Amino acid sequence: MNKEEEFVNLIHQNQGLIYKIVSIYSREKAEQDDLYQEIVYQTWKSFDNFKKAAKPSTWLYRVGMNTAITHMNRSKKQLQLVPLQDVKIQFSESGDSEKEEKIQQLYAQIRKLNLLDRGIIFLFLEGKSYEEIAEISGISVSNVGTRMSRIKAKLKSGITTQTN
Amino acid sequence: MELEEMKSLWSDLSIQVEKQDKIQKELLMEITKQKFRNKLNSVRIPEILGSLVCVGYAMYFLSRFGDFELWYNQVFALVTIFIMIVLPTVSLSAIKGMRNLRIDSESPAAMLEKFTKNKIRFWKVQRYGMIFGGIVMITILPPLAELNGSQEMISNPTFWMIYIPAGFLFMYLFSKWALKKYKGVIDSSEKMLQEIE
Repeated sequence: MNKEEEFVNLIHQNQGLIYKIVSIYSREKAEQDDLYQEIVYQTWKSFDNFKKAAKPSTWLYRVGMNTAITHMNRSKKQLQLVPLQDVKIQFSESGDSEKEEKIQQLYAQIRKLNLLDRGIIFLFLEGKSYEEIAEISGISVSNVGTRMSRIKAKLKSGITTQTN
Repeated sequence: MELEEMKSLWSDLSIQVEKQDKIQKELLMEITKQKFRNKLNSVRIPEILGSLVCVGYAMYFLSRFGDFELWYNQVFALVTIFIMIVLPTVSLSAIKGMRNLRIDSESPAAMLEKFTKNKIRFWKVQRYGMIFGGIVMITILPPLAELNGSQEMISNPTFWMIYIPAGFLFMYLFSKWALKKYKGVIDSSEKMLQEIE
């Protein structure tokens, strides 16, 4: 398998992961599409290091989160969306409207957190342990614990306020 | 919503996103290639053009330096040459600092810290760039006029009576806008740094 095929397979297998990163770091459709394309591009740019990575499973999380961090706060004029008619990035919507509403509430509350905390709660919701979160995000395990307590409180109060 | 409910919701969402239509494989490579071309066009050209204009002026003044007869034009030309070389160099290096971060080798915490610090540095450079831009606006004109034989224009007090107030008005309005943006960016960046620590 050549490099292009390997890259395309990696992205294809992890599209769901990229969708979720994009959704917690940006809200507007154009921004989401732009960030999605940027993550794909940055993954390609660093793809030679993928095989050398100590833990390939965490490599894409880092690339995705780091791209989102450095790509945030761009004005709409700075978006560099590739205008390909056939490329439609569909962000998931379930048939269940109540569940969909809750998902949107959760996204909205996560987007209120600072950039690092968004990544931490994302990894937590992805089922990562505190040790894995610490390793991927680059902070100590105890710091993850402290941050998680704060994040939980913020999310809980935010979602309760939104519901009321 | 409790954390367990959030986790279960997230797990449903993960199943859902896995089921949705995937972008065709050939289009993924197309996105990547197009994005690469876009980057080359949009990122480098304005920076290179701006720097070339500055260096061009600096070289022009340097090559014609012996033609200046008036001492104050020699001083103005030296100031202009200095600013026209230093400003793009510092500005390009600040931009390079933000762009050259290795996306796949840093942890998000380190990336956020480095990126934010570089962003602060970039905006500080922009602020000084604005001040020096104002200085160049004044210093570039008399030497240019001498070289082009338009000495009469700058000897005419009416010219300066229009040029200086208009220049200051432009600089005032531009600085007001830029400093507002500068303050906003620096404040939010510093807040972000505090949150990481």
